[in-house]
Order: sequence, then structure tokens, then C-alpha cells
Amino acid sequence: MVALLEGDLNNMASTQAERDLTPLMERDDCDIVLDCAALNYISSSGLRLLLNIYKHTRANGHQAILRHLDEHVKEVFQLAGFLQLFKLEQ
Amino acid sequence: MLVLHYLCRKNSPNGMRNSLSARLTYRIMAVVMAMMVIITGVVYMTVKQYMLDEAKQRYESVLLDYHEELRRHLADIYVATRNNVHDIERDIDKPEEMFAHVERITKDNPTIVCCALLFEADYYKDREWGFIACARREADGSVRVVQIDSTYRRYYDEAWFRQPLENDADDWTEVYFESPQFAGSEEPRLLTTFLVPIHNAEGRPVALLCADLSLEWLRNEMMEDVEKVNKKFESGSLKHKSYSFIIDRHGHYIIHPDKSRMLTDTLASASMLEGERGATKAVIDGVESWLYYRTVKHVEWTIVIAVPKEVILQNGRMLNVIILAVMAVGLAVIYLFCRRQIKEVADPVAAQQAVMEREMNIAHNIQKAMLPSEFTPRPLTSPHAPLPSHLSPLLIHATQTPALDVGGDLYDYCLRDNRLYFCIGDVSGKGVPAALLMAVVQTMFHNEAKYATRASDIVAALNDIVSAEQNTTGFFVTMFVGILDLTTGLLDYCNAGHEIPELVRDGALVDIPAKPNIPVGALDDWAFEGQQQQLQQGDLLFLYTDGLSEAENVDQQLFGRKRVEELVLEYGHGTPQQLIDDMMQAVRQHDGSAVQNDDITMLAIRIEHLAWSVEPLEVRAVMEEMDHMTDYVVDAAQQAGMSELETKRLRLAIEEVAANIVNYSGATSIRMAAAVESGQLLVIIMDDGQPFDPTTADATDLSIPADQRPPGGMGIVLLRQMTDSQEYEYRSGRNVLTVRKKL
Repeated sequence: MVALLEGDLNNMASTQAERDLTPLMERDDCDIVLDCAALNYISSSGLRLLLNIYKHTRANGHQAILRHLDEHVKEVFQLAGFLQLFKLEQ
Repeated sequence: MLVLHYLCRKNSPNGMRNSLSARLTYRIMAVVMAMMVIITGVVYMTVKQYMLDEAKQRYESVLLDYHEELRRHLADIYVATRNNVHDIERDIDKPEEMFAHVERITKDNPTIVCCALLFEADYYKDREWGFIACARREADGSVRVVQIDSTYRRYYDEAWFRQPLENDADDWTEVYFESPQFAGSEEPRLLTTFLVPIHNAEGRPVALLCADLSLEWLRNEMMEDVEKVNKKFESGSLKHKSYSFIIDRHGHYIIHPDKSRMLTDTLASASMLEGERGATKAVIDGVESWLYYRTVKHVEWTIVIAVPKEVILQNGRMLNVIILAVMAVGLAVIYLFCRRQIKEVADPVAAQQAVMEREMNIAHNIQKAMLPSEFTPRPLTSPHAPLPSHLSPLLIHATQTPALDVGGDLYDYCLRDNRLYFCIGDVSGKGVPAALLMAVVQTMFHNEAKYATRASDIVAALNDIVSAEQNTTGFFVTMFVGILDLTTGLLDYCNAGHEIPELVRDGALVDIPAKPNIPVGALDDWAFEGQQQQLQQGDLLFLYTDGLSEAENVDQQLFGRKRVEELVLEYGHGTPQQLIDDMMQAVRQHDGSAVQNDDITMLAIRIEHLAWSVEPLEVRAVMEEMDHMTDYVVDAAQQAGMSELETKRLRLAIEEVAANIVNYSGATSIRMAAAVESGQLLVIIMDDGQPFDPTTADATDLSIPADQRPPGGMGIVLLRQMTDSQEYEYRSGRNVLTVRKKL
């Protein structure tokens, strides 16, 4: 499944985003691709959210893939150590 | 004169009780005393001369008396002898008759102590070779008549005998001691003899009639009168008295108060006695004296009265003492009189002066209070967010040194809207009127600074006000007004006839082109033009009034604008306060002892940081306000010209901090401020929650795989990674976090 992340995933948005991504969390049969082409900004709440997705996919033996990370977001992920967890696709 | 100068000083030191009346009295006394000294001096000189003249007259008349007396005695002898010549010549051939003649002559003339007839050699053929008939008055008064025996020397061959005989002329001899043949059993006398030739029937001079005058006798006769004179004119207490004596043509004393000196001693200064009579100063026997003298003809004797100087001047001295005493009394009277009179007049004046002095002091104090005296570097202004004090954009220092108690110079500055409004000015004139106008202008400047944005506008507004005032004072004010934008460094300025400030940048002077316009208050319809100049961090601006550049030393040399420039350059690396102190010291040194003639005012500004601040934000510490907070930061970053990427990073850091506060600190409100300083953007976050220092808190251990980390530490990592530096302070119950990011 592919989820398109758009805009600024700050702490406020994370709460809403969590609700929006629930369908993803209910599926356990496939990889999840997060397209971040339009993702401008992510904060630690957003990171926590993505972490949950990762844990979820790993739990059911699938992968979580990040796509089209911009420079800033990539740096944040790197700092957070997420690049070791997620697979990157350009 | 030192006393006068002291009294004339304008300001007496505090604590001295020099009342005005006392000063006036002393001044008058000093003048009167000086006059008295002069008068005494003049009187003394005059009196001295008078004394000398009076003495001369006095002693000369005494001298005349002596002279006459002596001449009388000499004349007596002359007459006595001459009268007998005829009778003697009639009896010339009768040697025995000779004795009767000489006896008679001696008996009849008390002046003559011995009379003798001396004949030429072998005149009487049947008598002795040298025939002398002599009649001598002895000490007891009797007259002894005798023929001098032949043991007497051969007088008839000697010059003293032969000359008068050959010349057939009367003559007086030199003074000599009597021969023992004549003296007989008595002590030889000191004599002088009058010689008259005696002729025989043929008319040939053959003998000399000799009449002796005893100097001893003469001395006794004359000394009496001398004593009378002394008693009359001289006081008995003098060390040296006057006395008189007679000297012969060779200077030998022939009559002297001291008998032993007669004929044995000579007057040393005899050569000074020129002419027949006169007076001369001489040192005689070691005493400075005046010698009054007169010479007696025929015998060529000089009568001298020696008067010690002391004797002459003693009366004069007495007179001087009396005059001085009278003057001293007069002085005392004047003093008492003056004191009283002046007190009546001057004390009201003094009281008035004292009141004025007190008031001047108050004016001075008011003026001081009006000038901004707080020189601590000012933080960026905001009543809402007290910022850390190290964010000072400027260093300012100023001094005003008035020439009199209050000055006509002014300066002012204030901060508003991140702009420094400053001015410096010089009211024409000094003293209280200038100070009042100065106060008006300063207040008005402060008012105008609240609303104006252009320096020329402020100057124009001031001009309107002062021009209106001009009806009463006629003064004008030179001014320099500036508005320095502390965020951009742009200086907007307007000059009104004032000295153009000096600008130092990187150790060099930078020109400030400024149209001079005209002073404020000169014309009410002048259009003032201002200029602008871009200033930089580190620039030092130095403003001053002409009291500095036109300070004079005793040789009337000006301190000079060139010197001001040189010194600004030399001291311009220090703080404004150092620059002003050094400049003041330099001008004091230049002035030396000269009095400061004009007010000296200096204002120096150094730009430390060009900075601006955004109006702070205050929100409740709830998640709903997060956007508000991040928007604020993003806004500030964009204004500061931060790149998009860096803005995002900053936003992240701030969001993490804010989230932490909202979620974990228990704070009720968060306050934020952003500022640009030294090429960095600062964000300051304050909250009233529990004390928490993110700079020292444990960050997430990034070595632990992300999925195994405990939650919450991520924010701190992001904060530290996304920003360049962080500072934390807990102050007045607030967590204060300052975050910096390079631009």
C-alpha cells in the first residue's frame, strides 16, 4: 500500500495523520510505501508515527519503504537512525 | 599685590567666611596702606634733604662766627703791631728803648703772648751780633722782658727772617713750636707769628717786629663757643657729636679738641676741601660726616666743623616716626569707619549674592538631572520580554562641562522602535538665559523623538518652537540630530550649523557629508535638509561642541579641530567613555592654567551589534498554540533571510522544545522572542514550568536502534543538531532557553 504524505507532519498534524493512516495499520499482508515527495517537514511526533508503522510491518514480516525523501527530511531520518530501519527508494 | 589678587578672585572656596563687606574693607585698606607707604617714603626723602639743607645753613653760620672771631684776633695783632712801627722806627738807634716797646705791646694786647724785635746781623755795632728784645707773657699772666741770649740760633741767616725783610712785607709764619730760648722755664708753646718789617732812617728794613699768637690760647677762646653750639642743636644721647678744628695749609691740625693731635696729625681728607668755603661729605676718624669749612686769608687756615651724619638726620628721624605714628592711627580710624559703613551697604548686597549662588546651584542640579545619566549599555527595548543583558547594541557615553555654573550646551538620546534618537547642541551665549533655552530645546527634542522618523523633521519642529521663542531671547541653537537604525545600521541625520561629528571605522576617519543648514531658531522658514549614511558594526561616532575645539590656552592658541580629529583617531579604539575621558584630559592639558571659556560637551556612540528584535510572542502552553509558535519562528527566520532548509531545521528544533514544555513541564504560558545579532538569529523561549535544562539533559542514545529507544529523548537530539548553540538559564522563576542559528 502506498501512502502519500503531504505537507508538514508536525505534532498537531501527527494526531490527525494517525487517524488517517489507520487503514494501513489494519492491513498486515503487504509492504507499505510512504511517498514523501510532498513531505515538507516532520517532527518527532511524526517520527513516532512512522516508527509505529515500521514496527507494524515488521511484525507481519513485511517492509516499510520510504520514497522521495527531500534533503531535510532525509537528514532528520538519518539523525533519528530511521535510515537503518526503513528501506529507501528514490 | 598678592593680597589684592586673592581678594579679587570670583569664587572663594567653600567654607571661608569672606563676607562681601570684609572683602571690600580689606581692599580699601590695602589701597590706603599702599598710599601711606608711598607718602611716608616721599616725606622721608624730602625731610632728609631738608635736614641737610638746614644743617648746612646752621653750621655755615656758626662757621662764619668762628671765622669772624679768628679774623678779629688776627686783625688785633695786625693793628697792634702796625700802630707801633712808627714809634719803634723813631727809636731805632736806641737799643735800650726796644725793650720798652715790646713790653708795652705785649702788656696792651692780650692776644699777643710774646712780642719781640729781631734785628739783622750786627745792626748795633756795639751790641751782640744778633740783638733780640723780647717781652713774653708768662703762664701766670706776668710779662717777662728779656734779651734773648746768643745761644739762640743764627736766625738772621734763615729764610723766614730774611724773606719778609728783603720783601719789606708783613707776613704770618707757619705754625711752629716756640724755641726754648724764648720759652725760658716754661713749656714751649705752639705759635704762629706776625712779622712786620722795621726800617732805619734811610728806609731800609733792618729788623722784624714779631708778635706771637698762641694756638693754645686761641683754642681755649674758641672752644667755649663750640660747646654752646653743641648744646643748642644736639641731643646728648648721640654716640658721635659734632666738633670743630682748624687746619693749616698743609692739612695739619693746628687747633683740635684733642690737644695731642695738634701739629702731629693731619686731616686725611684735607684735599676735599676745595675753594675758600663749602661743605663736603667725608669719612673722618671712621665716622661718616659732613665737613663744613671756611678758609681764613693771610694765614691760610681752614676752619672745619665736622658733623656726623647721624647728628644731622636725628631730627629728621624723629619727624618720620611721628608721621608714621599719625598715619597708623589714621589707618585704624579708616578701618573702623570703613567696616561700619560698608557693612551697612554691602550686607544686603552680599545676602542677595548668596541667594543667587544658592539658586545657581539648584539650576545646576536640575540640569544634571535632566541629562540622561544612565550609561549602562541598553538592551533592546521591550517592556514585555526582559532579554539577557549581553544583547546590547550600543555603548554610549557623554559628558557636559559647563564654563559657568550652568551651561548652554545640550545633548540627549533615547531608544525607540529599535532606533537611537540622539542630538547634541550649543545655545549661543552662556549662563542662566542660555541654560533655560537649552532646557526647552532638550525637552522638545525628547518629545519629537516619539513621533518623528526623519532627523530633518525633528530639526524643523525644533526650529518652529525656538523661532517663536526668539522674540524674547534672540538666541539660536546649533544642533546635530541623528536617528540610528539599530537593525540596519542606517544613520539618518540633519546638521543645523553645528560641528560635523567624527566617524572612526577600522582605525580610520570616515567623512560624514552634511549640509550645514543654519542654526535652529535663526530663521523660522528655513527648509532643513538631512542626509543618510550607512554605518557598520564597530563604528564609533564622536560628537562635540565648539567649547572643545576652541579651547584656549594662556597664549590664546586654540585646541583646534585638527587636534580633535587626531585624538579621535588615536583614542578611537577604546570605549566611548575612554575616548571622552582621554579627550577631556588632553584639552585640560592644553588649556593649562587658562580658565575654561565655553561649555564643553561630548557624546560618543559605538555600535556593538546591529540587531533587531521581533515583537515577542506570549501564548498558553497548549498544543493548539504550536502552530502559532512555529509560525513566529519561521517568520523571524524569513525576515532574517535564513535559507529554507535552515529555517526548517530551526523550526524543528523550536517545535521540539515547545512540545517538551507543553507535554512535560507543567507550564501555563510560553513566551518567545526572536532577534538578529552578530549574524545570528536568536530565539529565546521562556516558560514558567518546572526547571529543566535541555542543554544538560540526557539525550537519546542514538546507538540503540530506533525501535528500542525510550520515547521523548528525540527532541533534545534534534534541538542540539538543528541549531548552532543553546544557552539555558533559570531566572526569576522562568526557564530561559536561548537558541542561536547562523544566518
